[in-house]
Amino acid sequence: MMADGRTLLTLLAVFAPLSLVSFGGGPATLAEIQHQAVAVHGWVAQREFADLFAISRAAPGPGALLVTLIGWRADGWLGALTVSLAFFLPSSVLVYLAGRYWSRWRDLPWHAAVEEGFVPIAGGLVLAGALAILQSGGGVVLGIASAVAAFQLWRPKVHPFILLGGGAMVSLLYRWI
Amino acid sequence: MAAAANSTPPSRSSAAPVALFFYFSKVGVLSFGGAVGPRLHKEFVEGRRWLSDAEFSTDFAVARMMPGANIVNLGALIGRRLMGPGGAVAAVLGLLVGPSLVAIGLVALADHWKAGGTLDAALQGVAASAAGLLLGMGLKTGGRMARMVFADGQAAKGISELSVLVAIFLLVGLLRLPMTVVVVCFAPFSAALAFLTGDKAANKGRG
Repeated sequence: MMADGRTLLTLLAVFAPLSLVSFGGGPATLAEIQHQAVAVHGWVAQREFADLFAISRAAPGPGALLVTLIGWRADGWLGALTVSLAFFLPSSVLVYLAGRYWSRWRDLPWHAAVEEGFVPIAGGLVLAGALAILQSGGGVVLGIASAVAAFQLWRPKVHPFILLGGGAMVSLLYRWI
Repeated sequence: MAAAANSTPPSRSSAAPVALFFYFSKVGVLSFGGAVGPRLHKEFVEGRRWLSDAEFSTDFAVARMMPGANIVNLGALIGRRLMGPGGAVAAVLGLLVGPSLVAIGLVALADHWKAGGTLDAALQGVAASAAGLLLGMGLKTGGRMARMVFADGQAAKGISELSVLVAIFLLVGLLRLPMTVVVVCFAPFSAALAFLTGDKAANKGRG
């Protein structure tokens, strides 16, 4: 992808609005980001998207850094910077303001309703994100994902890193056998 | 900030935002596999004692509820609590800059080693597991709502929440409608449903 201003503007236009509707955090935006990055703009191939998702999950720091990696792939360092600003700045400003007014709002009758209203939206978005990743893989991917989901429901306290590592091992064994 | 002053641990120091940037960078760069939240707790509640447990929990609740990456939101709130606007900027930059460089470095390394299929398989396994974690998270939320459907006096709430969850999943996950439009349309609707079906007495005083 060449480094002209248009790519940067497109990155900005895709990621800035998402920042303000990402209820449920980074994972909630996975389906939309995959759709935009792979199908609409062709910044990365589907398989590459899954790889970047994996790296952002295994790497230290917030998992939402996937967006920075996509920006980097799309338009190098400027792309990474643009996407990071677009995706993290608006929500950070919003949460900063919320932190200021939260204690004043919390006893208002609509407050609990707004808070509860976001829960099913976040749940649906997170499931859509899981689907977006699973669509790319075959039977092994589906098997590992189901096993991890079941294990997590059974033992919620297990550190996610152990499950990520376990998934990698199973996938490697499958490749070698 | 003033309201929380009585529960504020005394040792919240005169450190500058620059120092805060480095503390957050340290936590960001050292927390592998999505455990930044617990590490922030260790650093600022247990270690430095700059935050009380209650302050941290409140901030985490707000961070989870608001749009945006939960951890980055949490950083902005902790930074704000400790040092105002400069603290928030320092915290967010600390959480993002170092880890971004590490992640980009890992991608570059992965490109380099791509030729062997081993890394490919490992990454595929990690992606599958991470998707599984999301699946488990979503199913847990959905399952809780499904149980409400059959619980006394909560059927209306359970049905309305479950319908919103399924509708969002279908529209964004399967039909691939623009997420921004879908969320903006559904948010007021979902909040209204929560208001109408909610137990007003139980809602009071929660948060």
